[in-house]
Amino acid sequence: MLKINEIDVYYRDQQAIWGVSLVVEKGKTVVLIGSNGAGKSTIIKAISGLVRPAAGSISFENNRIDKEPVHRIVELGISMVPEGRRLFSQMSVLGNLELGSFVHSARQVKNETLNWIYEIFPVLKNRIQQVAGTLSGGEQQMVAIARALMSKPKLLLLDELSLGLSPLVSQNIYKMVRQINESKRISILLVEQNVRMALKMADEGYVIENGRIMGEGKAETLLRNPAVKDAYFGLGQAWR
Amino acid sequence: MIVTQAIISGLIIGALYGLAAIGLGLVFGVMKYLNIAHGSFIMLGGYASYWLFALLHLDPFISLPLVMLIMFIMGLIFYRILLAPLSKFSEDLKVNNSLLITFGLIMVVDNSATLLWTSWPKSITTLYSGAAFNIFGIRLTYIGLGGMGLAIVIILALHLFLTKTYFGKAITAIAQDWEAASLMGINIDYTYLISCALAITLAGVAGVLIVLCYSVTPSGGFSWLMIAFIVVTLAGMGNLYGIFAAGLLLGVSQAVGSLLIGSSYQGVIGFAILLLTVLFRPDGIFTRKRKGYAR
Repeated sequence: MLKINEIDVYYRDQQAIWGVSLVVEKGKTVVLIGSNGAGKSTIIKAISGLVRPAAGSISFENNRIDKEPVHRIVELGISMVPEGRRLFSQMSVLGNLELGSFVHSARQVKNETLNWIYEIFPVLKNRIQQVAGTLSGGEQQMVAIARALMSKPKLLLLDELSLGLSPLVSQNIYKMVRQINESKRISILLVEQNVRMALKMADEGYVIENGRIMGEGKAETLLRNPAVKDAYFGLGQAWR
Repeated sequence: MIVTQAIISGLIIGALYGLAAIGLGLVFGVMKYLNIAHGSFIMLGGYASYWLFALLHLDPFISLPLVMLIMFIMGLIFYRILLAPLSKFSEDLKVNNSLLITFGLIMVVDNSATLLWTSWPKSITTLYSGAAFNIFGIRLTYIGLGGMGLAIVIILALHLFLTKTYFGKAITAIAQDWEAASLMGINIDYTYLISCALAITLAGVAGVLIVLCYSVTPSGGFSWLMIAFIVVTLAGMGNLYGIFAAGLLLGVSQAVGSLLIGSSYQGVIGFAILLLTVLFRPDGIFTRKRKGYAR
């Protein structure tokens, strides 16, 4: 479904990504793990078009998208929840969700999508008129995910959902993400600091270090991989 | 009674101030371009109306849609040629560079206007110019009332456009976070193009009212730019809704102030308000206090 082939990404003259290739298949959940600054977010941004690969190609459902403008990529069915949520904080929750359905094909089915979103995030139904900036962190993250779903994506890109959230709240959010993936077969590519939690819910994982792919495989295999355990579970291992 | 008269005329001119400023606020608040040629576009709107009146004998209120169309097209060209190439820069570079470019544009527009229309003030005198009626001893000119009515209609239309249409909401979203807006599938470049054309159109409407109530000169754009700046700062940068209120506030305080301390201090009053705002409410008078919330 999504295929990244040997991309290089630069920030000005600084190379951030070196020959990364990865595949997300229909209905699968794929996680990118790695330490801070490894380049996970850059890969996601390259898919949504916020940064441009200098070499290599990205294709989605057999169309090359790495030269398409950002709004066009959304129209094709890739929606991103950016790091730090980036809500329109002075607008109401409903205003945010409506903007999520800006894409033409999504506007027609706006109300159906809204009803589906109330099923996944029942909390939002009571908050719909509230100004988005006044919600709690967890609720804001739900709005950010819901807003991305309003465009009826086939692939959802999630960047650091658990950032700034308590472990309990982020676990809850990931439960909802699981539900989204299962109920509508929406493929998910996510970047996550909390490696254990991410691998537990994913089908496949890629390990990114210094802008390169250092390992890949089934999520449960990676979860048991001693190198991965060593590098990312660190203290958690000792505490268990 | 004199004070009431001053307040009423202040409201009338204040509506015009709001109209003159809203285009500047739109371009700066949404697109982060500083268009200091805004006043020159106001003048161009006035000249367009003047020409249609002098050459084709069209009443300014009748030729208004035509002037708006001309200004809209001018805005499209202005964005495509001068502003669009800056869109890849960061926010502060955009502000600096658009300031330089539009400063150059002032030179070009003002000198072309001198060639085309001479440096003499031009104004439109219609049959109803100066006609007025009295209500409770307050003198109201038809043009003043018509201008205020027009300003209110346009601001309301803009408000409905921004809050009720998808395109308008996209403009508001871009003003808050353009990158997040692009992730919603909003075409940023196209939205900028139309917003800029709209802003120039609104400048043109203000110009029509100015040529009717006062006069236009090639260099007169600068004083209107100053007024627009004061109004936008009072409202708070990026706060489109406060602009009309800020215009009214400035108009009334100038009118009442010049009644109390003399009309030669009119300019001082405006800048004094500006200074006080920047000192005590740098985010603008009509902005809600920012929430302590990281974006």
